[in-house]
Amino acid sequence: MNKFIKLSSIVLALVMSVCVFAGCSSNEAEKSNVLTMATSADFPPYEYYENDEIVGIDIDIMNAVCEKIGMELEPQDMSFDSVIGAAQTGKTDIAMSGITITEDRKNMVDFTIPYTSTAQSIIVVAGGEISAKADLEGKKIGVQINTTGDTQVTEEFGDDAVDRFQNGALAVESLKNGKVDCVVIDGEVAKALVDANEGLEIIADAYSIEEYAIALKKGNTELLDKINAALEQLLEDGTIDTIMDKYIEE
Amino acid sequence: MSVDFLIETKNLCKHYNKGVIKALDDVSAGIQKGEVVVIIGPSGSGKSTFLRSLNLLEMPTSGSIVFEGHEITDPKVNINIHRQKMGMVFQQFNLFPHMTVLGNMTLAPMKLLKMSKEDAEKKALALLERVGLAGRASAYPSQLSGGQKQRVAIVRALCMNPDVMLFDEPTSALDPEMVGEVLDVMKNLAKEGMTMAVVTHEMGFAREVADRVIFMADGKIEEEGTPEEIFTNPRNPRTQQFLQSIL
Amino acid sequence: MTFKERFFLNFIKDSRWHYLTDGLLVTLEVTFFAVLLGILIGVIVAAVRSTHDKLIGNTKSKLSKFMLKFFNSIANVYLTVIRGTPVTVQLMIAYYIIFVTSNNKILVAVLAFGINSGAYVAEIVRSGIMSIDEGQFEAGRSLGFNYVQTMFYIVLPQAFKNVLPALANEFIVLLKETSVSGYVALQDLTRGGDIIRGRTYDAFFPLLAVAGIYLVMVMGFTKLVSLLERRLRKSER
Repeated sequence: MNKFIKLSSIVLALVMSVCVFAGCSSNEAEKSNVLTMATSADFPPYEYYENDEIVGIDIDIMNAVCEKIGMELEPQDMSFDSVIGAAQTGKTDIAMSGITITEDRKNMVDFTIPYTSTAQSIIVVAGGEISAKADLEGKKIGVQINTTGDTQVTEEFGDDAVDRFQNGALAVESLKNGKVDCVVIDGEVAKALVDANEGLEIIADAYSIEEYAIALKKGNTELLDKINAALEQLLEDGTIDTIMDKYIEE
Repeated sequence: MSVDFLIETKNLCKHYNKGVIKALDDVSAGIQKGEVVVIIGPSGSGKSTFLRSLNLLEMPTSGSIVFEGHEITDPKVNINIHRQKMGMVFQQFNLFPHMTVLGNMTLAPMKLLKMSKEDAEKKALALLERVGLAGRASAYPSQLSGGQKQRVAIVRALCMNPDVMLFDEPTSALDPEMVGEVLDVMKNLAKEGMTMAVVTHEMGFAREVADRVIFMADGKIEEEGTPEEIFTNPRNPRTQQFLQSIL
Repeated sequence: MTFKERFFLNFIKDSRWHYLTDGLLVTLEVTFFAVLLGILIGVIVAAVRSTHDKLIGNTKSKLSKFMLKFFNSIANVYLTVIRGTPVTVQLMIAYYIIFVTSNNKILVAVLAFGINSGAYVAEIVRSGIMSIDEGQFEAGRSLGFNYVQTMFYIVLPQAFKNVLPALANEFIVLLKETSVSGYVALQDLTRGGDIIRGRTYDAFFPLLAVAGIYLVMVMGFTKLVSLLERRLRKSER
């Protein structure tokens, strides 16, 4: 009996280590032409799931970039608060998930040129008492955790004013239930959320304007330059505008 | 012939498997006040089941039990009140292991008879003294020998001032050298006039202490009489066969 | 960045350590009340289930039989549903569907985790009750105690001692399960670490700090339990 256990554990250990090594080597081999992208696919229309496939503005733009630089895109879904860390540590080649350029983030990663800009919008219950940014004082504000909206609102109104949710849908659900007074979230997401939920509206005042860019591990200038060149072309020839229009109807 | 019984059963039946197994089959018997009744019989004869139904630890399938004038088999009767008056001693002692000897003995008098702690302890210590265990009041059951445990179990029941004591094979789980000390306690109890029903294999005890001996087999009372009659002149062939096999 | 700088960035700058201390308080508050609620529910459900198992064969009255079966099946449905679904999902259902109008996140979390834990406590306590020799029960009843008194004075104290390690284990699990509180925007210890991580983009310090705090709490609790166990075991010397 004892012998059997010993033997089987040795076999098990061998099998496991073979798997590990096999996994490593195959990753190594593919690395040359695959570009891995950390993204949080719960952020429509930038990245979200459609029939088991991650789609959205960021994916289309990055596919276009990859075409130009001769690589193949492989998006990896993770929670938003892990996305930048993935790029920073080199777990993925890039992070692209509607990431706003901020000074704090610049300390951790390198950013490409911005590929679009967006407003942080304020979603409220239609006909409520909030109609301008000035009305936010003393209100409970829902945000998606660790997004720009979260950081900015926390900075301006303090911790106690903020309720941090896992994603926009849960924040909006709480807004509908009266658990928060408004939701501050990226403009395009706000539009999608308002479209999907009756009785909500985006007020005319934007909370802030910000620029989205792609994050890379510090010092990976070779890839950074390639992507920047590709983005410049795509911005110039209107490809990015076309992609934005495809997802966002005014 | 009307006798005044302290506890009396009429046509008591206990059936299992919808009547296929009859642990008790139409048992009618009674115990008078002050009487010591010893119930003997081969294993599986229903003698333990009979004893355990007297305080409804076994719920009879049919028949009635009258205790001190109350028909306790009536579902409307609060059996807990009557059980306070029927002390029971088990083969496996069943002391409460999480309490000291004193705790075992004072729990029921304090909670059920609303005795004060002092009174309950005083009474318990006096009883312990009588069974020669005065020094073990603060011991836990696991620190006692089998014979000591059973003596504590007996005085635990006595703390409730019962009108009858039911003994379910009280010496069967004991090492032989400890049987005597427990039987001595029971003999003294009998001498003091306690009403007792005892299921046992100790024929010496039955012969010496019993006022009446009941022989059971297959869930029925086959024969009953004085120890003289049963042990010296058994009439029923089943009784003769049983006594031959054990003596 | 040097180690010192990173430590400063993660914990000192902007008083970020506050996220951990405030979160720790929330975690402790939620766990403490959820444990109490779990014990309450668990003991009741265990009592219902074991009463059913013990008495169903010995009950003659049709009404009592019906009541035993009725409450037992409610308890069974509760156990099946709670043990059959993840606590995160239960928490979110509680916050976003059941207690739609409640803004008291701590209360909702206490209810969700307490109700969840109650199911596991119930089975632990029931196993404890079942582990007590039937003779203990009979001895209690033969002295004149009713069913509830027998349970309370005789069976449960012994059962409790037997199941203490399993109960302690359940509470350790519960303490750590509250780390999903962030799903209802409650800022517990784990979420506090998440927020720091989101501000500093440093996974190392916040995660290890959070892990360390949980570990210290569990070690302290384990120590307390072993002291209690030793006290309870003095009757076995």
